[in-house]
Amino acid sequence: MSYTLPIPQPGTHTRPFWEGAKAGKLMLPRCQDCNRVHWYPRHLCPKCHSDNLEWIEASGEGTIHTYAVQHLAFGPWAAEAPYVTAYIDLKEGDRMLTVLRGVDAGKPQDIRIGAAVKVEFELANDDVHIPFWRVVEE
Amino acid sequence: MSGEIEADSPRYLRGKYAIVGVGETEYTRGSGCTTRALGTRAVRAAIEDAGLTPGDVDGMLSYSFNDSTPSPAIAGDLGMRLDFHMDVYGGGSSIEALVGIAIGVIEAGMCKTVVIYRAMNGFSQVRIGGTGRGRGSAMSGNGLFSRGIGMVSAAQMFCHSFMRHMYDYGTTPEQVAHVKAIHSEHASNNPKAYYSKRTTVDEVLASRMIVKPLHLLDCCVETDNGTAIVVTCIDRARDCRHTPAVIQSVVGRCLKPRSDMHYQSGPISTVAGRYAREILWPNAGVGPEDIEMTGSYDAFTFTTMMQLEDYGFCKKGEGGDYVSSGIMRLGGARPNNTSGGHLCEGYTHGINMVIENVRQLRHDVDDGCPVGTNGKRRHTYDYCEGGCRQVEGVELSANLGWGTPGMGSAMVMARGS
Repeated sequence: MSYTLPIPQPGTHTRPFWEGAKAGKLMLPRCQDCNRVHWYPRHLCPKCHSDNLEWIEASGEGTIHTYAVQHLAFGPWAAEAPYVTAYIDLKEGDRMLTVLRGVDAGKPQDIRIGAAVKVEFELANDDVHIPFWRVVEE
Repeated sequence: MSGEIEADSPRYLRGKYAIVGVGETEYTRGSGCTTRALGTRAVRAAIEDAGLTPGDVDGMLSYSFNDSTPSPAIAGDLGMRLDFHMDVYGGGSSIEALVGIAIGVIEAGMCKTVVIYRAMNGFSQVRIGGTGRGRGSAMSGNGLFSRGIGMVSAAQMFCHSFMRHMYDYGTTPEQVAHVKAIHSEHASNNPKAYYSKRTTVDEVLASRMIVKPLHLLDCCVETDNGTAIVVTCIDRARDCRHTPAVIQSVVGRCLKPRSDMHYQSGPISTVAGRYAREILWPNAGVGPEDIEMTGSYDAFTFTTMMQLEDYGFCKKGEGGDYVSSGIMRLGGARPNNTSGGHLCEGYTHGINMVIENVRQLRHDVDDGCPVGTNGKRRHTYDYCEGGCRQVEGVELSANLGWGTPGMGSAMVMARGS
């Protein structure tokens, strides 16, 4: 089935993220001077301002920090509504915005802040696999 | 208050500048004219209100999301020759920042009197609710990871902060629905308001869901309008028509850490007001307890709540109790958005809340009370539907402007002599 939603175009400094995604790996930028991970990818460490960044393969694990149920959406996403968006507290640090899977947008009372989630990737085209996070049984 | 940031900026401009004129066009959906016409009419109205002529005003500022008409065109239409002008990019939280810039350029000797305007066809041309701005831009930076999953409108993005606030502090949708209900009471006493019908808490909660936890009636109106204010120094202000609204303190576009995407780290149930207050109150020489009325930006019901909390009008986490306590109603201890604000009067990216507080500080707000022989309204202070909306004897107000959860501006004004 072809992916009908908007597809990001990988830029220059995010290439390792998208290469990792193709292999099913969550790659995160980490500063080799202060050892902290940041998201989203930047040209330098936003915490200690160093240029000395590397990409690490992350665990792909996290927890729900907050969420919302999108009832009024735009463009190709309009057909997907209602769907759940969430910020994920990454195990390695910082947060990532996602469309949450493994939840019922019609039963938001069942979505729990703090619940464990795992990353998965969906093939959008040959170059881009998009990360989504899924609630896992605890 | 904790003091993580330096707030030692000079305070000698406190009380040295004032807003002397305010004006607006009708709040409509379908102005039938250009933003140039809206801006020109609003600027003319504000200058006239000040008791000045366009030739008396030599500075101009505006803000927009590239959805407006710039100063040289507006000035040209009014036959004005400007010594200073600037048109900045931005929406909410711009107006208080621009008042500070106006003070700065007058102080620098660049001009003497500045008119600031916002002209927008926010309903009939570039809609703010997500159907206009942002859809055509490239997916890069923050957008690379948000646009790809359909995040376009302010409601879609900001509501995550409110959800986390509910989790952290037990705040409820019912509590913030009071913001809409209260502002609608105020709007019912404002002949200019686009929505002048009173709305109940139950009606807010029964309206359709836009982005859970936000209902349709938790979201502001979209309207077409031009709005303007005139800023000058206190000496010139004394020669103007009305009692001046004297500027005690301004904070402009103050940011949270990593504000390009503040959700990345730190507590997201806190907004930029937590930082802006460290500048606002020391520079004003007063605290939130001294303020008699507020204009807390109501793009959504919860934005009003989160700002009042983080500026210190209540304890952290008690914003839900504050906004549902009745304190913000006309007749309450500290009314908020007495015009009806963005939820009811019209959407201007903040400037109409400043206009309202200026009129309140003059003790001459434009409600339905009878006008006396001296041209001033005789206020009844009966806040029944269609009645008075003047806050009795108000001397000190605060405006709390919202750009995003991570960006805010604020201003304290006092009634002049």
